[in-house]
Amino acid sequence: MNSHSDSRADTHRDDEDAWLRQLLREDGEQAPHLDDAGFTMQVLQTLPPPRDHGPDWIGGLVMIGMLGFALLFVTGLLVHPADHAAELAGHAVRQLFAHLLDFRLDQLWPWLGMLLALGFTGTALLDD
Amino acid sequence: MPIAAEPADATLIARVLAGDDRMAFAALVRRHQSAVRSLLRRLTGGQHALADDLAQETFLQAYRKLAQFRADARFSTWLHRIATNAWLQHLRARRIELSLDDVPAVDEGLAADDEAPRADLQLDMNRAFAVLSPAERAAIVQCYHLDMSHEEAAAALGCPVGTLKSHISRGKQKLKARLRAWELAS
Repeated sequence: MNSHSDSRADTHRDDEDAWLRQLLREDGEQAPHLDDAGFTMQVLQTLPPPRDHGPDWIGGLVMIGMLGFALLFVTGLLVHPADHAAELAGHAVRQLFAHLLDFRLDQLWPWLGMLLALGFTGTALLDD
Repeated sequence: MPIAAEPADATLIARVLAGDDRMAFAALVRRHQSAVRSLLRRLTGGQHALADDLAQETFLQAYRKLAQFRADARFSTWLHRIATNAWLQHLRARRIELSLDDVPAVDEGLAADDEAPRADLQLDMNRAFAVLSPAERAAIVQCYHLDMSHEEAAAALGCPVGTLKSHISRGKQKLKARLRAWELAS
C-alpha cells in the first residue's frame, strides 16, 4: 500500500490533511458510472485485424512449398530440356547447393530473384 | 431465466490470449471503460473528448500488451497505469513539461465559480482539479486515486521523489483552498 509518511513532519502534515485525503478517496470511490454510448464499439474498430490461425497458415506454407517445387522443376527444364522430368527438380536442387557451395555473388542474383518471387507469392496467398 | 454470472477478468483475458476472442475483449472494455474514462477526465482537467481519445488509446495498448499482464496485479490497476502513461505521452508530444515551473492550466470558467452550489463533491472536485498544473494533477491522482507509493508514482512520472512531493504539496494547497467548504462540512 501507500508509504506517504516517511518522516514525522510528513505524518504531521498528513494528519492536517486527513479531511482532504478522505475527500479524494470518496471522490475516487463515488465516480459516476459513464454510459458506454458506443465507446466499446469504437475501441473494437481500432484493433488490428484478427490474427490468422494454424490451419490457414499451414495451408499457405504448403502452397509455398508446392510453388517452390514447381519453380525448381521449370528451372530444371530450362537448363536441361532433354532430361527426364522426374530428375529435373532434383537436378535444380543440386544446382542450387552447388551454387551455394561455390558462392559467387553474380550467380546468386537469379536465385535471390526466385526466392523474392516466392516470398511475394506466399505473402499474397496468406493475405487472402 | 437466470442471469449467468459474468466471467472474471482473468477468464476473459485468457480467452483473448488463447484465441484472439474479440467478444471477450469487448466485455473487458465495457466493464472498465467508465473507470478509465473517469480517471482520464480527471487527469485532463475535464476535457471529455481528449479523455475519451486517450481512453481509446489506453485500451488499444492494453490489447497489444495483454500478454505482458501479470495476474498478480489487478487488471484495473494495470489499465489505470496505461491510461496515465497515455496521458503523459500526450503531454510530452505537446512539449508540456512536468516541471515545477509549469503554468497551471486553469480554466477559470470551471475553477473560479464561487457562487456554484457546493453540494456535489464530484463537481467541486472537478473545479478544484482544473486549477492544478498537469504535474500536480498527475502526482495527486497517482498517489491518492491509484494508491501508489511516492516511489512508484515518481517512477511512473519520470521525476525524482522530492519533485513528486513538491507537486503533491503544491497541489494539495490548491485543493485545500478550493475545497475549504468541504473541510468545514466534515
